[in-house]
Amino acid sequence: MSAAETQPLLKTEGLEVHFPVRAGFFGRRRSTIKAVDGVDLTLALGETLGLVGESGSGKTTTGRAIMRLNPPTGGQVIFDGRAVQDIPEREFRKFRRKFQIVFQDPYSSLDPRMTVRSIIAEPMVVAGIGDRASRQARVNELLDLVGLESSHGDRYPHALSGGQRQRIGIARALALNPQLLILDEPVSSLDVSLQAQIVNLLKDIQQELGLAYLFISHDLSVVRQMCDRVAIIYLGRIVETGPLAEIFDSPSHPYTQALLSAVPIENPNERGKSNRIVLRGDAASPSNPPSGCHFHPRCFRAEEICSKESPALRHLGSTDHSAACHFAGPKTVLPRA
Amino acid sequence: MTVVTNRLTRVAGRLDDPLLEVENLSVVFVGLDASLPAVTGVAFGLYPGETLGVVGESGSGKSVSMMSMLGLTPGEVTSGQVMFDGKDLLKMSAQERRKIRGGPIAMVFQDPMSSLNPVQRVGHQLAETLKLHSPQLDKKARKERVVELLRIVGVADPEQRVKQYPHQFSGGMRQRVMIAMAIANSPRVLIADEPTTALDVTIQAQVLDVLRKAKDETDAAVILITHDLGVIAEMADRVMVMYAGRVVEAGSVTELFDSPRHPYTKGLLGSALRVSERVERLNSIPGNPPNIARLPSGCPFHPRCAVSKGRERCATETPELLDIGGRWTACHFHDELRGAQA
Repeated sequence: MSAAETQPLLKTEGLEVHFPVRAGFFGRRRSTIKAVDGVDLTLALGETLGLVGESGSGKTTTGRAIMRLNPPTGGQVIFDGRAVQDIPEREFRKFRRKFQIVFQDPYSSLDPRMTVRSIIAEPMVVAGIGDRASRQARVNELLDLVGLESSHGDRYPHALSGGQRQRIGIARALALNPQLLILDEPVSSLDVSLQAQIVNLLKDIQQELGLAYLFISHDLSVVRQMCDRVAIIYLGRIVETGPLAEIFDSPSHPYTQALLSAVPIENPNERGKSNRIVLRGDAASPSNPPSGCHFHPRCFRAEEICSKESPALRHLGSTDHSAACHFAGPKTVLPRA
Repeated sequence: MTVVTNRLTRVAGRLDDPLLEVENLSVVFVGLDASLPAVTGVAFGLYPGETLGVVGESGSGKSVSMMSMLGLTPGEVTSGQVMFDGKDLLKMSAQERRKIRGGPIAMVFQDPMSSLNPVQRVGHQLAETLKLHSPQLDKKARKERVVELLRIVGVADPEQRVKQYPHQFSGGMRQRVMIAMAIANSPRVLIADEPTTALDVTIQAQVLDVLRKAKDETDAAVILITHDLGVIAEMADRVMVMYAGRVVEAGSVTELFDSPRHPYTKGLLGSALRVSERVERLNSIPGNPPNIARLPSGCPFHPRCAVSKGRERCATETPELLDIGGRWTACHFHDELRGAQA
């Protein structure tokens, strides 16, 4: 299913989240951190969009802005045809059931003093759904859906492993039958042997319930296994977006190319064979981003124009693959190492 | 054929002696009502110039075993010996060990922010290591060496950077400082504990390069502790796989990746998420890593094992680490994996 054919479930248009910062004596010096700076995303039911970036790129803030956990300072979030920021607070509480979030850290996101059963039931209690008995039935259903036994329901989070806790986080997010799950690095803190389990579980759930996933991650290998489409974010701006296979097999933006080439090899026999682009320096701070294209100081293709003009996201060829680079093209060649 | 004096610490075919020889190392965490086995019977040799990768999931004992050699864990060492330079590190006094740490054996930790002192200038902290372990250097020589060290690890403009504080460095730069500090006294063994886990992937590639360079510069043998098989594939010459506090398999990096002889290694390699290719249904190891407070009987991996299939021997008898021709595995049925592809 592609987003173009169906009415998108979620759409962001020029989404901005700017944080004011006060510094200096009595906070007189003011500046702004542009954590999210004009992000356009679309996401359809049954689809998984990967939002990929490094720390400080604004990927988590984008997810939180969609949920109104951080109010957007500009742009729009349109969910199911409605502009989310225009919904009054009272009504929004009800509206929010349609989209839920799963956090990265399964240790700090579960209340240690609640049993698993009450953690999963809590969203239903807050929303005033059902009576005790029907809620319990729903909890059992959810435990089963995420691959836990109903005996796990009577335990406390500390008695469970990281993988089991993340399953609880997922069950809780599903309790109110959302249409969209925002998954913020859901497997990053898990051991290798458990990551595959959770990826399989998330795929099964999506197939069964037809949900849309916004999958926020820095880990390209998880994104490759999970997503249908990908958006690469750098210092608050989308630099490249397109179908999964296009992004991974023919990346057009130099940052995407560098990101992919930095992934460690999979077998020691490949040593010395990969064409690695080692980027200069670190990502700049979003409080003081470089002029023009934010990526230009680290870019291996940068020319004079890059420090002056910020490139717009433009289509490449006929697909919905686009990149924000003055020199992006379908035939961008990787530099020789 | 040479006479192999110790089948667990000597690599067949290597005529030189290991730099570090660890035998039967066991560590327990003593609690109020129980002693938990964190590390059980770990043995390995580290040869000059090699990079030994130690891979395992959280709680597998990979960090605890390496740190307890240096007296850096709260656990209690209940058995074993760690021979370095003809001396047993475990029998040394705390004072003697302090001379070894940061000198001939140096460490790089995962989290560079909490390993640097936030209120001291970076240059001062680097000079401090030199002061402790290289007393022959005078103040001026130390200053020069500090700048040189930062240059080796790729910190731009080192003359200015020495005057800055850790918070003025990014995560990747801080990790470079940690590596500079570790190689300051030309160590013979460098233990790097998840040195790139906290870093972004583009920065990880940079730091791994720096680590390679630092190794070449000092000719140190490296113990690289990580959970990331990609980092192992990039860096290690030999690999030791740990599970539930034990070494379950060890061998050369190509042997392990191409034909694992322990079901856990095979499962781990099979469940690694790949960036090169999309797989519709991922292989995974069922179940969860064991809690050391409730270790399964027999082979600690048997409840999750695809080879055991409920065989009684796996549940009753703990397999020993056996030499199977220049490599080691701790599995009763390792023969069934002969020729197996990951």
